[in-house]
Amino acid sequence: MGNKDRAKDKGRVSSRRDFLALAGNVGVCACGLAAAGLGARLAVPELHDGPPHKFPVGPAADFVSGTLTWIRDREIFIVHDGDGFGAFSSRCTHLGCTVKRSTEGFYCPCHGASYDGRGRVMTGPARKDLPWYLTWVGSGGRVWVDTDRVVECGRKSANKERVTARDDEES
Amino acid sequence: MKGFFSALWDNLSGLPGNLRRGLRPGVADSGNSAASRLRRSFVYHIHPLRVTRRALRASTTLGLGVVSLTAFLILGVTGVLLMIYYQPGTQQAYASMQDIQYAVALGPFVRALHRWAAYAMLVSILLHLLRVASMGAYRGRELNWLVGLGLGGLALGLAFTGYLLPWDQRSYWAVRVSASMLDSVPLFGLALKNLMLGGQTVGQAALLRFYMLHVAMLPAGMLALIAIHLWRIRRDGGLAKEAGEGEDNELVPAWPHLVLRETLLMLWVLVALSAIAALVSAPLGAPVDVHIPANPEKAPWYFLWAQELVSYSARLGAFVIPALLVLGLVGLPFLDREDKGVGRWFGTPACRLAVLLSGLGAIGALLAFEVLYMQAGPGVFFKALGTLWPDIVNPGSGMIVVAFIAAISSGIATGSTRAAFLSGLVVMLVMLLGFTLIGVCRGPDWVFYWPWEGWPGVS
Repeated sequence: MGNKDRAKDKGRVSSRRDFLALAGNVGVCACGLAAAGLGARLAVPELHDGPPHKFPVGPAADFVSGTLTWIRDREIFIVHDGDGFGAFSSRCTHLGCTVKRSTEGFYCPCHGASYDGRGRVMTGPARKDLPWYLTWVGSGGRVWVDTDRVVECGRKSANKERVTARDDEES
Repeated sequence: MKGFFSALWDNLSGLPGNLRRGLRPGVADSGNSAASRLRRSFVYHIHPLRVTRRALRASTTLGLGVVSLTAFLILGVTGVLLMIYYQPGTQQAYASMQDIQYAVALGPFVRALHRWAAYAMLVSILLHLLRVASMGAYRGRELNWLVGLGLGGLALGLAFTGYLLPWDQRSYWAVRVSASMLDSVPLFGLALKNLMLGGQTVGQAALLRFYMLHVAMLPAGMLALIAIHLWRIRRDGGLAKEAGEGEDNELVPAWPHLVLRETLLMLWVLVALSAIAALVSAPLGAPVDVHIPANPEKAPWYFLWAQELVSYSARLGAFVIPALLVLGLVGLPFLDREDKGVGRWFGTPACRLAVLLSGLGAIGALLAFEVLYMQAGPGVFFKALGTLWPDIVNPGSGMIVVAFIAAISSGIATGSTRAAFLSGLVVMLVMLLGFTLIGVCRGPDWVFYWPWEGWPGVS
């Protein structure tokens, strides 16, 4: 094919050479993308560190009735009153800062969200209430929390309530 | 035997001349013309042989690209020096920063220079982007505009990853909050968060990843894009300008006219940043408490606008507005293809007027929002509107609406796509600057305090 013919063909993917060039380029790009994908796959962690989601927070006798205790390492509050033990998150549902206690309930220092005493949103950029978690008193007399099991706001474990064998992993 | 020794003797006695000829190839035979100076030097060969008089004038570009390149080079050198002492471990990082700050000779100076150069790079890249946009200089330079946006993104990434490395109170909480912001990003948010942190929480894996990104991946990407960026300037025929003749388009040799100006500017940037670094050191924050944030816990100034926006709505500030900004900037050279007014600050006189009015409108709108906000007290948008509506009606979405109105009305009034998009861009930038200033005024519990008001004691 002469130069004139090639010039005429310009703009059309008609010749075998053009097709092979295109296929080559597409192939190289595909290989590059695949390699990038493999590299990214390596960076996705297979093992997750961090504390377990089901844990004891201390002997039930240590919690004074009518008080709120902040468990620092777990970033949860434990409420204890006549109804039993309850647990809810101290992590602001907006962007995860630790809320602090205020006169009305809780207040987030990072972006100004506020919650009432039971962790329900009052004002601010937070949209969700602080989640409550399943609690129970194990056979060894310790209070347990499972942060994978969210329960309705205000739910507490009854003091006398003995837990099922599945939950009681204390002994 | 004899041949070997005499040849060796000749080589040794001819060493001075051979060294000169060998290390500076082409000196002897290409004369001393301006062109040969540019051709035979690796550093100078990125220049064209001749440039227009217009390109030499300071008012044409303000030399902002050279300033950001200089800052990048300073960051590379000071960064490598800091790597000698810095240790990327949650137990060691803060202590190694204290070593640099208090025990290493010149440590505080090098660290301060690293920080001030980082600030200079961010500011000069932003102004460079504004300069190019305002002159419509992306016309016919679509690829280089996109490469430039990539460089801006990498610079922000470098600032963000570098922020975590001291592992102090500020840096830990900034990254913990930013990681939560990814929850608001649909589809890729969670995968991105997992990839960024290497786990569920901001811990050792996250610190090591940030370190890798900061010292290897992002600088390498930046170097590659800088090479393409500079090469494209020549390929695209130098600075963008309106077609036509004039004294300004007269060509002069790049050596010495352009090279001299660039070198002087680089030296001045180095001198200015060194002086600032010698006078104002980079403070190290309080040791980290991974469970209790400080009050207030503020983002670095270049992300304060985002913190202010997410304090209205996480979804809007963390995803919608950044996504709109990126989309708008990427699409700019394809949505505006006007040749009129290219190479002039804010284009034609009509375009200039439209942009000015839009900027003033943005200031007015910002003041109106803030007066409303202050009058009603913090939380007005949440109290009045329930829990879903604040995501849709807030100062952040107000900004989008004002930018949209400014763009449409400028476009209709002038008939120019450039006037429209520049008006929208200027409204966004003016209001983001405003949100940054409001962020500066935020005190404990994210309450607004004027600069002259004291903050109440924090419990």
